[in-house]
Amino acid sequence: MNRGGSLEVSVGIASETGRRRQNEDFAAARTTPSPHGCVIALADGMGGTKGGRVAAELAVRSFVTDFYATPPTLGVLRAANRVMEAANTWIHAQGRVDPALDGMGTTFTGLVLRGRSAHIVHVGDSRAWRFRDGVLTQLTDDHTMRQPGLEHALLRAIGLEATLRLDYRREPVERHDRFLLTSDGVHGSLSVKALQALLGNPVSAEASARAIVDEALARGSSDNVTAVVVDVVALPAPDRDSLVSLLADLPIKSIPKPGQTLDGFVIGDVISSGRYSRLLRAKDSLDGTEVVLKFPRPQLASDHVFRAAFVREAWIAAEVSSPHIGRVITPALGRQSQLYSVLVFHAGETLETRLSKRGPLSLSEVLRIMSPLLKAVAALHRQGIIHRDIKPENIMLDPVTLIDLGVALVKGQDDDLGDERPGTPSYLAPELFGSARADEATDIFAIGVTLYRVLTGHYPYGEIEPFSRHDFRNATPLSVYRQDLPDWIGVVIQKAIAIRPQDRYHDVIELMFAIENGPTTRFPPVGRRLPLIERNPVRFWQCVSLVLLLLLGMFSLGTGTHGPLDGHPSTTRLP
Amino acid sequence: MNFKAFKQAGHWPTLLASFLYFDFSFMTWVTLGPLVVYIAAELHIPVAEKFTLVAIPVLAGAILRVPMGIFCDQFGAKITGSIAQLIVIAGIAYTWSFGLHSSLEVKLLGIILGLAGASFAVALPQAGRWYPPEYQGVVMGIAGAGNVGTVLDALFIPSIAEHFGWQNAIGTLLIPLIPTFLFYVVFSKEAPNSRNPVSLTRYKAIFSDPDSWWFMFFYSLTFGGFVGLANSLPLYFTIQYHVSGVTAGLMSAVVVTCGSVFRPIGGMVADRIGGIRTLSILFAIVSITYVAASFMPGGPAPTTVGADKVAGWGITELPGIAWGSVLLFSTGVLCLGMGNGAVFQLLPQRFRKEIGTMTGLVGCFGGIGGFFLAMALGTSKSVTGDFMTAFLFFALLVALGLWAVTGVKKRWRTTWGAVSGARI
Repeated sequence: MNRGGSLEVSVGIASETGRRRQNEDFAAARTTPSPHGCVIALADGMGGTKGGRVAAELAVRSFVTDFYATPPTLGVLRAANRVMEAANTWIHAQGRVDPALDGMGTTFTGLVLRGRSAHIVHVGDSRAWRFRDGVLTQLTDDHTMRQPGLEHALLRAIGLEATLRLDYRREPVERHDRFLLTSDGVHGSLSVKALQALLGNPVSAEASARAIVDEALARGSSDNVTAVVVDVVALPAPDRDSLVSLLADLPIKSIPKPGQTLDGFVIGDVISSGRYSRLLRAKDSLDGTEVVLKFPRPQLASDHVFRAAFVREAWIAAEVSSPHIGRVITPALGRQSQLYSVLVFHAGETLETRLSKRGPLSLSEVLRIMSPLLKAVAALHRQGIIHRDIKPENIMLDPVTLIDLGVALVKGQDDDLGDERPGTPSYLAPELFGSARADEATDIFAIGVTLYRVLTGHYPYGEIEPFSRHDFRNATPLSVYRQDLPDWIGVVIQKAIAIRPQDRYHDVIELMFAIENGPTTRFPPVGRRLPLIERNPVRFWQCVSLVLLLLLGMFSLGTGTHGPLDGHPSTTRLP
Repeated sequence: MNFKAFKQAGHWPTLLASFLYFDFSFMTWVTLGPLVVYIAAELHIPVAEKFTLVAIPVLAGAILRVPMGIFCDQFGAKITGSIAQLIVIAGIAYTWSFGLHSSLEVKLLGIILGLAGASFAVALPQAGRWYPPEYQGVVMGIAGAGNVGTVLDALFIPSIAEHFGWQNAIGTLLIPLIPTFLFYVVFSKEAPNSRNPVSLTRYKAIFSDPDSWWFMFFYSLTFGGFVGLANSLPLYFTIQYHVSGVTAGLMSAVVVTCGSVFRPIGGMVADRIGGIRTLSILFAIVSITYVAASFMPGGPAPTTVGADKVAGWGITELPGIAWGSVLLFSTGVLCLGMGNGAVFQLLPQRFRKEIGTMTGLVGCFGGIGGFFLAMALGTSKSVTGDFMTAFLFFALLVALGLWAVTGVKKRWRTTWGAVSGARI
C-alpha cells in the first residue's frame, strides 16, 4: 500500500450551439481536491422557449455545488438523489406554472470520481462512456422509446415527473482511463468507432473534447453538441481516503505500560481492557490535555479486518460533529509511531456505573439524560451512521456523551461484516437475530432497552446471551418494576421496543418529541392485564361461592360419617 | 432440508464410510468398559487396577487424536484411517485368537482400542471436507453420531461374554469392523481441496485466550464424565451392588442411553436459552448428583452364588437401592450428555475461525477428563475402601466448572464486534 496519493483528473469541456437557435446543453465540472471527490455533469435541456437551457443549467449547477454540501458519509447515490430530487421538484413545478418555461425538462448525466471508483448517475439520453486501452464502453442506458422515428422521445428525464428515478452505476477506475460525457447531438452523429479514434489521440482532454465537437458538427449534426472528456491522471491509495491510509499503515506494537511515554503522551492508568483493545489514560505533554489512548491488542496484528475497524472508528468520529458524541483527536502527521486512537477524556462515570452503584434512576434524571443522548443519535443518523452499540456502558454522564463507535456502520459504504453479530446481545433488535442489517430502527430499539434498564435495572425481554436465538415474547411491562412512574413513559418505551420494526418510532426525532411531550400527550389506555375481580366481578364471586360450597360439602360429608358429637358425653346412651 | 441437494452437494459414499468407521470405532473404544468385568474376574486383577484398565483406552484415545489429526493433514485422511483400522483389527484378532494373560497385555489392548477412539480426528474432517459450509452442521452431526455405540456395547457384550467367553465377545467386534474397513477402503475418497495443517502460531493464539482453556475444561467435565462413567459403571455396579456382569451391562446401558439421546437436546436448549445458562444449570445438577452418588450406600450381596462367570443379582432381582442408583446416574449422565451438546453449540460460534483445531483440542481434553474419572474411582476404592472420595472430588470439580461458567458469562457481557472470532 503506498502512502498518500490523491485523485487527480484533467477535464475538458466543449459545447456548441451548432445548427440550433440556442444552446440548451450545459456542462460543468469541479475538480478541487475534496473528500467528496471530483464531480462532472452534463445536461441536455428540452421544451419551452427558454426552458431547456434553464433546466439544464439548474440541474448541472445544483449537482456540482450542492453535492459538496452533503455529508461524505452519505454515499454518492443517496447524496445525488437528495440533490437532484430537489432540482427535479423545482423544475417540474416551474414547468407547469410558468408559460415561458412550459414543459421544460432536461437529461442529466453526472460522473463522480471518488477514491478509486467512478459513480455514474443518469437519466435521459445523454451518455457516459469509458475509454480504456483503446476500447470505448457505454456506461449508461438511453431512456428513450425504442421504436424508429421516436428515438428522441424521452421516457425519463428531470422535470418530466414529480418523482425522479436516477440510474446509478459504480465502476472501478484505473489510471489513464478516459471518461466521456456526450449529449445526443454528438453520439447521434458520430459512430462508436469515430469516437474511439478521436479519444485515442494522445492530446489533452480539452483538445479531445474540442475535436469531438468539431467532428460532430462536420458530420452534419443538427442539434446542440456538447462533449466532456475526463482524464484520470492519478489515483489515491486503495483505502477510503488519505487519513485512513495514513492510520492503516501504522504498525501494531505492544501496548505501553503506565508511566512510560509514547509519542509525547505520558501514559497513565489502564481504564479498561477488552477483548480487542485496551484503554489507557494519558496526558499530552505538548499541550497538557487529558486524553484516552485506545490500543489494539497485539495478537490482532495480522488481521486486516481488525485494523480496518479500528481505523473506521477514527474516521467516523472525525466525520461527525456533535458536542454529545465522544470525539477523536487526530494527532499531527508523523507523530504516531504505532496504531492507536486518541480520544477525548471524559471525567464522569458511565450510565452503567451509575446504575450499578446507586440503582435505578428517577424519571427526571432520565429525562435530563435523554435529551442530549437523542440529539447525539440524531446527528449520527442524519449522516447515515448507525451506532449499533447504544447501551448504558457507552453513555458518559456529566456532560452526557455517547462514546464508542467501535462497531458503528456507515450506511453508504460496505460493511466489512465479520462472522459475528456486532453489538451487545441484550440490546439487539429481534430482526438482527435473523439476517437483517442494522439501521435506525435497531438503534431506536437499543435506546428503548437502555431506557427500560436504567429505570428498572432489568431488561424488558430478559438478558440475552451471545450465540443464542432469543424468542421475543411480550415485554415485561414497566409497571411491574416501577409502579411510581407515570403511564406515558411505559407507553413510549413499549413503542420503542416493539418487536416489529414498523411498529417502532420511525426516527429518533419522533422519539425525542414523544418523550418531551409525554406528560401532556393523551395515550390510549395501556393493555394492562386486569385481575379477574376487575374484569368480570360476577364470575369472580361465582368462583368464590363455588369454592365455599365445595368446602362446605366436604366438611359436612366429613361430619356425616364420623359425627362431630362422637365421644361426646351427651351421646352416651343412658342405661 | 432438501435431501436431493444435500446428496449432490458432496460425496455421500465417503460420508457413509466415515459414519460407519467412526460409529463402530467408538463402539470398539468403549468395549473394555463392560468387558473388564469379565477379564478381571478371569485374571484376578485387584480393584484399583481394574479401573486403570478401563481408563487407559480413554486416555489413549484422547492423546492419539493429536498425531492422528496431524497424519490426517499430512498424508491424507484415507491412508491414516485405513492404517488405523488395520491396527485395531489386528489387535482384536490377536486377542480373539490368543487371549490375554496379564494385566500388561490388557493395557496394550487398551492402547490399541484408544486408536479406535482417535478415529474422531480422521472420520469427521474427511467427511466434512467434501461438503460446503452450509451443510457442515448436518455432516458433522451425521458422521459424529457414534455415541450410540456405547449403548450397544453395554447391552450385548456382557451377554456374549457370559455365554461364550470374553475372548469371543471381543471377537464379535470383528463382524462390523472388517466389512466397514473394506467399504471404507473401496468407497471413501480423499476430498480434492488442499489440507492446511495448523501452524504453531495458531496454537499459541488459541492457548493465549482464557476462553479456550475454560472450554477444554468444560468438555473434560461433560464428555469426561460421560465416557468415564460409561466405562466405569459396569465395574461400579458389580462392586457396589453385587450385580451380575450381564445386569451391570444392562444398567449401564440405561444410563448411557440417557446421555447419548440427550446430546442433541442439549444443543437445542443451548440454542434457545443460551449455552452459558444451560451449562450453569446442568453443572449444578451434576454436582448435586455426584455428591448424592458419593453418599449412596452399597447394596446387599446375594445370598446364593449363581453359576455365572461374574455372578450377582439378575436384572429381575435387583434390590431397590440399585434401581435408585441407576436413576441417580441416569439423571447425572443425562445432564452430562446435554452438556456435551451445549458445549458443541457454543464452540463453533465462539471459535469460528479456529473451529477445526478447537474441536480437536476440546475432544482431547474430554478424553483426559474421562481418564481421570476412571482412575479416581479406582484409587478411591482401593485406598479408602469406597467411592465417596472420588465422587466428592468430581463434585468439587464440577462446582468449579459452575463458578467458571459465571466468570465466562461476565466476560461475555461485552460488545461483540464485526471484527470477531478472528482471534477468538
